[in-house]
Amino acid sequence: MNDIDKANSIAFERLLKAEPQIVGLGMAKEFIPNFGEKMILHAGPPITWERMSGPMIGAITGAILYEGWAETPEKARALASKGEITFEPCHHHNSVGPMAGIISPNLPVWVVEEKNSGRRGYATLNEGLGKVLRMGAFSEEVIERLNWMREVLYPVLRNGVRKYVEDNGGLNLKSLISQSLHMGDELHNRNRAATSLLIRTLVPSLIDAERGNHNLSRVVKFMAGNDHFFLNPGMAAAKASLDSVGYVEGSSMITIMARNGTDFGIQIAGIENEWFTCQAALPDVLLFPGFTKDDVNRDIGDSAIMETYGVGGFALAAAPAIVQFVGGTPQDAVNYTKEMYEICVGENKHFTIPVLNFRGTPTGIDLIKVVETGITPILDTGAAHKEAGKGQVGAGIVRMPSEAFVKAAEAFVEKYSK
Amino acid sequence: MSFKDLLNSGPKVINLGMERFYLDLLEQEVPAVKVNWRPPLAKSSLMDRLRKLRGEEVE
Amino acid sequence: MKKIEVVRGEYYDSVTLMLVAKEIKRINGVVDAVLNMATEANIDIMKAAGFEIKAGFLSPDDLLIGIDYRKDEIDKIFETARSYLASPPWKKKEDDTEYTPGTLEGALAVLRDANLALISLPGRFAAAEAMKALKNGLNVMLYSDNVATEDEIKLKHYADRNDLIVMGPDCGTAVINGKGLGFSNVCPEGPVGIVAASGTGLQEVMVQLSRRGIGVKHGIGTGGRDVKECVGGISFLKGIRELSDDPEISLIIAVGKPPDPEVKERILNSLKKTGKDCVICFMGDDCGKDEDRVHYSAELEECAVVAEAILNGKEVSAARDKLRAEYASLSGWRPIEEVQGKYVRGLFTGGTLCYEAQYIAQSYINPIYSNAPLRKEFKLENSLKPIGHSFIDYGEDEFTQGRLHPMIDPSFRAEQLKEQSEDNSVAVVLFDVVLGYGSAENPSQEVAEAIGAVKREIKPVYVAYVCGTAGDPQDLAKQISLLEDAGVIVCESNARAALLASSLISRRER
Repeated sequence: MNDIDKANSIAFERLLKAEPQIVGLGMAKEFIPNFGEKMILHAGPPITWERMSGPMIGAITGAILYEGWAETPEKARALASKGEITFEPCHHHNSVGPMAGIISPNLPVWVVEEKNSGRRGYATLNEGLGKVLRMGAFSEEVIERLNWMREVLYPVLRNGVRKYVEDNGGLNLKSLISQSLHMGDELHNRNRAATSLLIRTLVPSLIDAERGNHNLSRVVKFMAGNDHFFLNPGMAAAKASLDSVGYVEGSSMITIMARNGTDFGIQIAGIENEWFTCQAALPDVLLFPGFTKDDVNRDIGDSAIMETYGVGGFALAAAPAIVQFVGGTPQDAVNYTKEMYEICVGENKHFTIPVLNFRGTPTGIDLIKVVETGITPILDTGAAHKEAGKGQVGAGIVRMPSEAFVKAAEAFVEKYSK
Repeated sequence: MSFKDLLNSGPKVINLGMERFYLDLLEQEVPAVKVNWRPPLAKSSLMDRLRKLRGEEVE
Repeated sequence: MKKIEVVRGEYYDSVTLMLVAKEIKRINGVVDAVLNMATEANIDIMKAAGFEIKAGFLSPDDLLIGIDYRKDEIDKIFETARSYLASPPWKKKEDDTEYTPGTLEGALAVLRDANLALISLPGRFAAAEAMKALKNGLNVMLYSDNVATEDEIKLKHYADRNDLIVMGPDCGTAVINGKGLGFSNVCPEGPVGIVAASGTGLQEVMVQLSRRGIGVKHGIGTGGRDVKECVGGISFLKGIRELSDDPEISLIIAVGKPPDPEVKERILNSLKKTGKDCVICFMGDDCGKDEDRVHYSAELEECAVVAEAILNGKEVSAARDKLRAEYASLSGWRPIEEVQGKYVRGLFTGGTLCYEAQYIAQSYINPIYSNAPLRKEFKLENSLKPIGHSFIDYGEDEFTQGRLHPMIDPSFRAEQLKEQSEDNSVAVVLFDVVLGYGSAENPSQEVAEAIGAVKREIKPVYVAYVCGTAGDPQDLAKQISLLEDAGVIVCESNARAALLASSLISRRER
């Protein structure tokens, strides 16, 4: 075994050992490290205001209105363009966000902790589908919902989770992911089972903590009505787990894949804190009625962390129902997963796929294998309308662009050649 | 499997490239698999350096 | 209007691209369609075809789609082309397509006891995949050409050290334990083993043996460059050694163009050491004198005749004499109709068949020009404009950049055949039709149609050889009768066809 393989083994084992759990909920500004006052976090690699795409511009507009930093969308955009707000990637603050991935100071976040390393991952509460902030919507309806989430949803959840953590030490997310893979989820575009399991796990503690609170039923209804509610803590779990790998000398394992609607970026375990970016893919997916190819925004969101973690599109074989979205057959779902094995370091004994004889999911993307085989990772994701606030236009399989991987390989070779 | 073994036990083929060769093998009932091959993402100089790093160089 | 589109970062093999181009050209209004990966050579080809290429930086991994469309809405045609690429219309809808591995390693997981990698990828990628195969303990048949000599040497040295063989580069044919790899004819199995540095050379010898009821157990291809000094005949010698060790093989045939002198020496010594009967057929070479168990022949059919005699316990010289007598009577044949013109034009799909034809015909007509001539001074300046007597190999590189090999797609050679037939100075047209695995479904049909469409008062005499066996998928009898119905004289070997065609002219010249 050569040095790179050894390094990849180390990185892979660390990833598999990771035990992410929910330890609480809190306000972004209080819990997320180095969160400046006039700061907004976003999905994907670093990007300036001028280069941002529609959905992200809309989401930031909404966040500014939500924070009360401006009164109208026009004033909000003016503020943003003046440079008075600092935009940074979620990934630079141990956080992750789906689609536009916007986190502003007064948004409540899940606090997920990896038990062994203590590394944390943060993610907001998922708003649901339709006109939502993460798709770039910023209407009054959006702001009102965000306010309700902060005033009602958040305190109820926070208290319930606190109670659960008191009684149990932490809410084991890895176990939920593992179970939901056996129930037809793949954890990126299909989270229904995981959401159900999460609610089931939390409800007794929610009841105990909120006896007599009439908001409880609304809270549970809200969660139960959002099939993707689990996605956010799932992403935080993936983030904390991948962060727990840390820097591994000589490893070509990929620890971040993320998109910001304009660019796609990756990071590797063997090169610390360096983004390798290129233009994000234009999703060629099944479109919802009424939308055309011209409406689609470039790939956006930190949710690619799920595939980086070994689930999502990589576990498509576990979610045959999702193929309705991609217009294929269940065999197509299996084939996607099988293809991903060819570019991964190993198979995940904790996340197994029943239809493949409980074979572990392909986990730990190997940069060198990607470059050598010409097979780039696939994601199973939603596609946003390129105009802010118009919501989701479709969903399906998107293949990641190759340039970022080539750049990373060049840097890897530069660093490690004698 | 050595050349001698190949001659003795007959071909069992992995086909990389033109699909018709693979189909012709199936017709002759030769065990065969085809590969959905794609070219490397990087140009050959980078591929050489990567292979060298992985200790796959050949003298 | 002519327009080009660039599709970045998608790979398609050349066969798929050409089949898509063929489908697009069927569309009413499409004058031309060219699909090529953007290598330098292909960019030149497309520019020469009148397409303007404006895109800034192009790499060989980008796809160029060039369409010439007589009507409006050319973009629709591009859309169609792209949809054909994604979903080839000629592919049958397979019920439940199992996963096709994307790598050699993935394939090994499916076929654990694989022992050979058959590689026909573009030359610039082939060597690396071949090395990977060798390192995984697989033998390699390298159909690809344009593989660098240094790479070939590295591969063969590695193989040698590890008891493996590399057949190729540029190896189009092999037969292992009776199973055909690449282009091959369905032949019986028997006590003969062949090592060949030439693809259609191997095919012709096997076909001629097969017609005499003689079977072949192994036909090991080595690629043409193996017998050059720089490579040293590594694969050739390895083949001889194994055939020598095989108790089921009692006769060994060595086929190819003449090796470099030192390599030839080693080959001869190796064959002598086998203690088995050997027939050496280095085409066009000065024949040595037959000694003991080693026999020489400079021609492919003769080689089979000698082998037949040996295996049947008959006298070799008598067999040779009989063959010469048959040839003599053939060269006395004379057509009933008037023959107009003075030149013989040969149009070949098999490289070695073209070579042998020149070798045989040169006794009767001279000079013979070619794109792959016997002697440098007879090289054609423009292979699309033959002069005098010309024999052209349409499988040569210059014709296969951006075009399928003529054995796979006979249409280009058929077009050329029609064109040359309409030249009044052409008296005889000589051509080959190669059958077997890998070859087109109905090659005679395209030629027959081309002949039928020739506009000329007195057509040339058509002489052909169909290289195939009764077991081949194309139905040998049908292929022959299609040609005969079109008025072609079909001969029983490549040598006879060349002989008949050229002696027709030489007698007239006298």
